[in-house]
Amino acid sequence: MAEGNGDKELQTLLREKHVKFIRQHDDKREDDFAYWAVSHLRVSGYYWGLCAMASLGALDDMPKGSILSFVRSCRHKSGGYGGSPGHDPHLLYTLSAVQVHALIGALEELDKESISKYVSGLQQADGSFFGDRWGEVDTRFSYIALNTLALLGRLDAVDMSKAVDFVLQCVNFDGAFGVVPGAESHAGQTFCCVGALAIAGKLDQIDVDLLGWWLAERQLPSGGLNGRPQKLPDVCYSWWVLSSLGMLDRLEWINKEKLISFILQCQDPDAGGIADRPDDRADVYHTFFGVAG
Amino acid sequence: EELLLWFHRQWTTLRLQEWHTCDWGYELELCTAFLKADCRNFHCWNYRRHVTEQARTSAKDEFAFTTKKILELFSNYSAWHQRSALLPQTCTSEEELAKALQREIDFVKNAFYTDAVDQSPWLYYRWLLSQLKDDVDMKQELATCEELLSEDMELTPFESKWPTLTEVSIRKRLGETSHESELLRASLTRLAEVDPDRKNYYEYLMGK
Repeated sequence: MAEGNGDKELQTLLREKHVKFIRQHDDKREDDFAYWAVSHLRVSGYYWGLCAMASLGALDDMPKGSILSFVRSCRHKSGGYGGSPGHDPHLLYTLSAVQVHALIGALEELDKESISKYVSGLQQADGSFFGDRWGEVDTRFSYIALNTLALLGRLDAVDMSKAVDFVLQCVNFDGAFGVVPGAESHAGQTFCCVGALAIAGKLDQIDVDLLGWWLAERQLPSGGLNGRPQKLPDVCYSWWVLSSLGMLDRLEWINKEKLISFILQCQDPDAGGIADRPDDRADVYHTFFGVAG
Repeated sequence: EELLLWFHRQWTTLRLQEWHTCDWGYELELCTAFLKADCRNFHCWNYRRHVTEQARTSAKDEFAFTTKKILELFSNYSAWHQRSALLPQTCTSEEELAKALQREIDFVKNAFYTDAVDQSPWLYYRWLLSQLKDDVDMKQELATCEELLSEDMELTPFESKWPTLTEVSIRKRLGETSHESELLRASLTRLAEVDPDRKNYYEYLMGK
């Protein structure tokens, strides 16, 4: 845990420290409980790490061969991918697997047909997507499904019109989106819905000014962004909110300098990595989103 | 706040209902208890929607629940959100809805007159205004904002943000443009001063 961050003014991105922080995560510490506690999402962990390294200009520092090999071993006969070898397939890890291949330049190695079939098999009559065979519905899965297929060039595999219809049912009184129809607006879900609509070319179907403003209101006096009204800022919203504003072409509606300053304050100057907010513990997930922001 | 646990409970209740019966009354009480501990837990609010749908709880009863939560805490955005979804469901005609909107406007004013800085009631108020069909009603609400912003109320610049922003949105609804309306221009300029982080947004509104 970083100490004394409040005393130092972290004004630059500590690139080398973050590269080292991410790189050390690949050391298999199999006697470490934490290693096993996150095994269900290890494929996504590789995506966050790779993407962060790419943003830091250090993609070549990652052991691409062994990462690809690990991801391949997570493939399920249904065409989907699990979070670790032997784990059940889920849309979440299927997207991460495709993204890892895309980052490494190995998209052509994927069995696009079977992945497309796995994804399209999860679409429901109302256009929504299950996350896996157990039936959880969430607008995250709409975005994940469309992102996966877009990367594979296979958007034809699903009913796009119905997928869009379902997403539009999740708009709320404030112009933002929730997890299912009727659910409270949340910046993470909003990112997924805006992303899905952007992929489908249907951003004209929403009130862009109203949503852009709701997103801009996520910026707090500290410069950090929160996920919904009255909540604390969190570095991952640098991505969810900022990317949404970017897709809506409203990026200038927040104070960029203050956000940058907030993210930099969340760095751990000793061990590297970025945390959710200043003086908290760093992790790969927030390092990725902080760097991306 | 673990997402998957809530989904698992939801899935389990549906299997119980299929195979035997689920005690939806108990599940609803559970939600009430959890929301007492954490009134912004959106997983719990979602789960409550699942339970009330299965139990066929009336929209009016759930609407009353949101009233209770809001009176406990005016800034409870989750409750205001739920209220926005339920309001149309509690009305069976356009006339009823119009009357309900007026009652809601009076209700939300209690909240923002108590604390002008709390954004939740203002966001709900803005939505209510967007549902109004009559310019006469809109002008009445413009007068409300102007009264709040008047010198008598002694709002600080920081406190003036939400009433000013609402005043701007009403003026635009009434067809005013920055080009023609000095009052609109003055309000947008003031907003950029009291809320500089979002000055580009106010500049955008100035140009529209």
